[in-house]
Amino acid sequence: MTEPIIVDTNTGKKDGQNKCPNCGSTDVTLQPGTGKLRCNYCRTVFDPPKLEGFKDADELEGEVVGSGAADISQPDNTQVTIKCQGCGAEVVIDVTESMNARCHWCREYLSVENQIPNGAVPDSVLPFLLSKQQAQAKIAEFVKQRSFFANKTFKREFTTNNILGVYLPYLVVDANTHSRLEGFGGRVVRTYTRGSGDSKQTYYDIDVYNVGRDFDLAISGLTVEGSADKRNINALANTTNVINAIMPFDVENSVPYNGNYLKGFTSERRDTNVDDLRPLAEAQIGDIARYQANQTAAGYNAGIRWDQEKVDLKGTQWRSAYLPVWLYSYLEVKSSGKRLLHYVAVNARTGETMGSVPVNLSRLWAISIIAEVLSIFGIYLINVFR
Amino acid sequence: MDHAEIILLLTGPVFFVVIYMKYRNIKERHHHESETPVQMTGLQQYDKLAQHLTGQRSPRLRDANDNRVQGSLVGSDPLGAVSGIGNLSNATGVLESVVPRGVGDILRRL
Repeated sequence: MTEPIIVDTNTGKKDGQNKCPNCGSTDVTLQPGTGKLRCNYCRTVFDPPKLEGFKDADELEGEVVGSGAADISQPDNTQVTIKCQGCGAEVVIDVTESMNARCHWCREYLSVENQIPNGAVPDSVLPFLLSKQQAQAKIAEFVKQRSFFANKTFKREFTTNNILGVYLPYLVVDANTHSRLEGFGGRVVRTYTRGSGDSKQTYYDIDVYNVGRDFDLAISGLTVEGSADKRNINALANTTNVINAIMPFDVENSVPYNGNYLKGFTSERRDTNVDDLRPLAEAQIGDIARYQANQTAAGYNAGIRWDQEKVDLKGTQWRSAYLPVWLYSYLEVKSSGKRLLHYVAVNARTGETMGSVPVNLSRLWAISIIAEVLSIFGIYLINVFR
Repeated sequence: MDHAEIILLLTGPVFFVVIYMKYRNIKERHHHESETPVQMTGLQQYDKLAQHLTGQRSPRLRDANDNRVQGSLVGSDPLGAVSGIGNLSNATGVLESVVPRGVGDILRRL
């Protein structure tokens, strides 16, 4: 396998003060609702720079990897010492807690900008667009829709005041592919019944076609969770599929990583390498190719049996990204002592919301039993009046 | 007992399962296959009539796999892939988590 081409997204970056180019202040934060950075001193709003060095999907050949998606070789290296350019003091930041700090002497804002091989600094970031108030409204609306069978304690304790804005780690994949699929597709040409009464049966006549599709496909912005914990999806044991369900994000609007975007939010480090995610990404690319082939064969209302599916990857491109999520969490402690962490997550770009609400099992059992009793009574009435 | 009566008899259990699965978001996932931006070029295709089947009981071709999704973390077969309900020991665990505690004890002894 040939070595990947590395897109360096780290050159020129320096830990420490990340100043406003207009006035030199370090008090630069995300402007709510616009996704742009704003200097809180001179009020200048900056248009974000474009993410450079990466190719369009249809131009890809071989493998391209952003330097922020490099393998994690120092997972335990979480302490970063930053020398404040204002006063010379050394400030230690634990990147598992925050990517920003204020110098305890001169009060200047400092941020971690350099990519160190611990997965904490990605190639790109997609800034928050939804404000906290908008996210609170989305979460409250979602919980209201599921309140009927919600656990009583949860309903009593529910409040959106403690929601957090979190940048979650993802790997964004672009792919330039050539696909060839062959198989058999069916079209129902006649539907009819035979027999009468209880023995009446429906039959179908189907024309079967030999079907083939051959095409190039440029895939942009396939997103895969960069946190192993978030890929551990078992809907009855945890609630992490909530995070999967709020995708997609408009990753095409990502900007180069800048620590100022993270002020006021928390972030989670990537803990998975490209090699670990390659099988999953390739399976998803195969799914996309099959779906697109199906779209060109819409007349086959009896379905298609694809016997051969060949997807050649002419080129792939990987970059790491922080994507924005508003998160409400609630720890349910069951009567058995088991604990289950519930989330309601809001995609902070599109507003798509999904969540897990603890179930009031007593109420659900009671209503299910009532439904069952009524249906048995219905059967009894049918037999009486038959 | 005819079909209508069997369906009526299943009302309670079906109601319980449907609501519980909805609250656990069993089917919720990112539809990467349809929601990822793509650009298709150079399409070549053929469709040749190969066979005429008569008197089929199903309107779907046997072994049709056009709806298959292999790269989903959630799985296209929610009961089997996600929860492991296909596995009997897992099924007991799932039931224990949703039934009242006394019934759970009986299940554990089974």
